[in-house]
Amino acid sequence: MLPADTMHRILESFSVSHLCRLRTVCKWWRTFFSDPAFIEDHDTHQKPLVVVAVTGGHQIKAVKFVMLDLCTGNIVKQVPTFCSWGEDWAKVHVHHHIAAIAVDERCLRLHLADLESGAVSVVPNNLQVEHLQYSRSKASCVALVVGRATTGEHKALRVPCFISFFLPVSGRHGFHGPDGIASFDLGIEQWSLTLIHGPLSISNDDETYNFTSSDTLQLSALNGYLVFSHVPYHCDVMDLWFYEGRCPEDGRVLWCWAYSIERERINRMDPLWVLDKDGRLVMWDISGVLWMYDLRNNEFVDGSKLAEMSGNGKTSWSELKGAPAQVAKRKILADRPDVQVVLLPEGSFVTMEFNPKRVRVFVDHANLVAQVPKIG
Amino acid sequence: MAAPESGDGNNGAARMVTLISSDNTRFEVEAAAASLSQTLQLTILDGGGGGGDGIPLPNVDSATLSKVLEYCIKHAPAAANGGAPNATAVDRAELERFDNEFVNIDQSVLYSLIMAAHNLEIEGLQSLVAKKVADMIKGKSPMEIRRTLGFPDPTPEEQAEMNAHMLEYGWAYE
Repeated sequence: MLPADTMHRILESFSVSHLCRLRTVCKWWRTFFSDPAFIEDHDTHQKPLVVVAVTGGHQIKAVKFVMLDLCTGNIVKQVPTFCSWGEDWAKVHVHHHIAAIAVDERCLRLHLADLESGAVSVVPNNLQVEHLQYSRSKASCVALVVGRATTGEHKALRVPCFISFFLPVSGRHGFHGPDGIASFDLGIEQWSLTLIHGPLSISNDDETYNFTSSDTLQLSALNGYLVFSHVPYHCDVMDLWFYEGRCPEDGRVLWCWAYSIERERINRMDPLWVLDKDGRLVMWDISGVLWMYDLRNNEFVDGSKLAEMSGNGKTSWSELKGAPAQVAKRKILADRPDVQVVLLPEGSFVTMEFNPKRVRVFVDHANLVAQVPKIG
Repeated sequence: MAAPESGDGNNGAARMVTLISSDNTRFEVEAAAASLSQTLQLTILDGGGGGGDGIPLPNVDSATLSKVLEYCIKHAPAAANGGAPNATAVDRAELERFDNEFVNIDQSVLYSLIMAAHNLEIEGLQSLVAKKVADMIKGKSPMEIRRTLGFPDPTPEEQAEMNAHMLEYGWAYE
């Protein structure tokens, strides 16, 4: 028999749906799945980063979720579009494998998607009486968060407000004034009465930090830390601070300044995760492109290209042009066992719809690949 | 096998320790490599294992120990750098290649390696072998998994229980 802690390590690498299948293997394994310590570890181990990519120009045609290996940054899985709303606005918040998606500016039409199972449910849009006034307001920014309360359930919170955050560790969520941050406890469903001061208003006396109301301020959860980002108006620099809690002696709020990133249109980017392996920062921008930022050389790498290199998310095979058809087919299936490879003579008439699970390979009269095969 | 050489490397700064396998083979390695084992680390810090009196490892045979030490020697420089934040991509790729190659082994060897990694508490090796086993399990049916891991065949009672679970969680098998 394998030692229990080894078994624990082996099993925690499986996704929830895999574990359901593994339940039947033996009684001993089932004891793991109901052990709170295992569940806790499994949750932290399985923190698939999920990114939403909004594509299709002004009209949102697709909301795509990408799961990354948080150690290496390779794309593990791309979850196909759940639905197509034809709206021009979407707000998404993801916690573990639960995503909350709102497609109107006031978050009145809210969908919850379970990225493990693919199930999508619509949240009833009836507002609390005291919130009815917001149903007519034109507030264009609405904080939307989903998180796991200390009681274990997932809860979504929508508030017409300015900026938002969540702390997955304690299940607290919050919103702010200028840069004071209020927090909401999802477990007891109550606002905390004390504000957390942001890094801008508590910076050192000798180094005053100016900010204006036109600056871009954002809160995000990086690796379980609350992170405050600030992009001054008309500047291409983003500063990131990590929240370190309160000083045990005098109760002062501690922020650790971690990054200062320079890039054009940086205010259109969201920091998502710091990779465990090499400390690169994963960001995504508003047009849906995933970026890997390397602090050491201040370099941005297009994350979607990164995915191609790893093979998992590969969508085109330029190296196969001119290869024998059967070789190409084998290679494509080796990279993407999930797709169907269709061999067709060059110049064939084909239907124009996009199929993410199909690769058409056009071959010439000598049975060699005539065009770069790609998904579609 | 990269069995550690004994003797002439001793004049450098690297401190050497001696490990003795269950079948009484002596292995001399750098203390830094052996210290990847949490179990050995304390003994080594206390100054044990040097000179003539090695550290006996009654749970690990010589074949397994030489394999374990191969891993430790390879990983010791990176571990000394504290997770190697300044390691180059080439170094990392090389370690990854080494790891993949390293666990590409017979199942009985893998099993001894799991037990040794567990007994010696070598964090990196434990994760590596766990990942290897996880990969072996992936895509297999419960019965195949039992055979892969060498669990005894289920008793009729267990079989009935498995079937009941299959029914309950049938959707997971689709």
